[in-house]
Amino acid sequence: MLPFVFEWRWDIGHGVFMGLFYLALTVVSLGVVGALAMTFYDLYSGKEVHEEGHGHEDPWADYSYGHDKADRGEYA
Amino acid sequence: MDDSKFWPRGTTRCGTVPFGLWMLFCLLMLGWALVSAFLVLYKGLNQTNMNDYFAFGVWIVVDLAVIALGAGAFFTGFMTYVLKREELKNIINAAVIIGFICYSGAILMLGIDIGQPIRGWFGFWHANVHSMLTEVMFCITTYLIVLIVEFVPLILENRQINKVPDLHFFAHNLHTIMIVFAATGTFLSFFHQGSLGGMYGVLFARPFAARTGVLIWPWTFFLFILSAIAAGPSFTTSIVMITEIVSGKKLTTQKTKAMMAKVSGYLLLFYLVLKISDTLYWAFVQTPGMGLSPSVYYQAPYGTWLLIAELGIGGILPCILLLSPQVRSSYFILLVAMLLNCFGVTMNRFVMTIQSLAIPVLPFEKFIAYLPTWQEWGISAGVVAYGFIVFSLAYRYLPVFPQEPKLNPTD
Repeated sequence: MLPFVFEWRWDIGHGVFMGLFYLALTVVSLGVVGALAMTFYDLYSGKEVHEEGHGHEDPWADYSYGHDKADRGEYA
Repeated sequence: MDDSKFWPRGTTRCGTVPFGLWMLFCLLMLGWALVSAFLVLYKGLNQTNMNDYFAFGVWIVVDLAVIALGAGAFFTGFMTYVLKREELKNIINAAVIIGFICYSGAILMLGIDIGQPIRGWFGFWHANVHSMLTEVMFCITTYLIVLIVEFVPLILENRQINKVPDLHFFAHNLHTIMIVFAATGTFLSFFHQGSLGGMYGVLFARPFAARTGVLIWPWTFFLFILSAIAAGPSFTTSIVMITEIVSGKKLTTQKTKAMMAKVSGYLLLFYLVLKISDTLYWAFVQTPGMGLSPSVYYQAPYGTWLLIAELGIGGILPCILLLSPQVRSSYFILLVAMLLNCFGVTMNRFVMTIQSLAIPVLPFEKFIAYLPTWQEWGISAGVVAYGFIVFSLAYRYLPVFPQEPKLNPTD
């Protein structure tokens, strides 16, 4: 798993396999760190939390999944 | 006890007594699993009916089946965030939760299956990069991390938790970059679904499973990916439909379900064309080339009925149904078609695991059958109970279905 671990080899197999593994972990970690950084920015820039419908008539309007553009109540 | 202040806004849920009784039933199933797990970990794998013939048993069948059925999470995420299919945002939350249940359940079950879970980290630390299973192990665990990251914002959007500013903004910001996680999840899932199939394809000593292929990938690598992405959306949608029937509420529109069914149907058609071609080549070219006849593969109790069940009842039939617009507009026939699709992929994982091992490969071996012990069934039931509990709690307390308030205005 790491270069100092027994049976590690500096070959293409380890390079590709472990390289992609660490790339995936890095992308996910950076995503979470980025979300945390944006959260601190929002908190310290005085952005307000909109409770109970986030100030909109539709209680789900500010919900990130499936709101404005999604179909509602329609049948195929 | 009134827990209504935790329910999603604009919705109602059943009373605490029926919900408590349902949870009690699930906990009893979980108790069976815990007793079984204790016996297996304390006394060893002799508590199972696995032996020198069957190194894989019902746990691997269930593992492979739930991982295939959980593919709805990555493929729905891919279509929603990468291909920008807005309609699917109405069902993506359910897909993520089901994916999380399937993958975490599979890993919990593997923890028992390996017999020595405290040494499970050896596979990571001393990775054999030429092993299909190493790739599966790395990708499944990494993808579970991705699923947790995708599930967290949904938990944080619970009506009460979301009032905390830090958590509210964190959930919102995770949503805004969800495409990053969805794309990473797609990459990881694609490869581990394939490697699970590849593992069977490279079993050269098992003529039932071994396949030719391209470069380092046997055909089973691609067939497993295709069967998973064909069945995953069906499983997600059928769980949503069963939840609708149980709760008596409309949770998504028929249009959303029909779209999932259409995607499933076309992917299933593509898979079946390749799978039937592969089966014909395997039966009439590859097997005779090894000096065998296909009849050696199908002996009691694993007769040709398995082939008919897998490719006919669980393949061709649901494919025809899912591709029919009339069926997609019919609630119950659509549900049956989707469940048949899930049955087909489960049968595929069963035959690749159990039938492969039942066939004798040495002169002194016999064709033998395998029947799990109650401890093995107990662990399998535990994964189902765990899924019931997580999904029930999520549905009760989290805003899983964005369309629910509009579709149930009397709430």
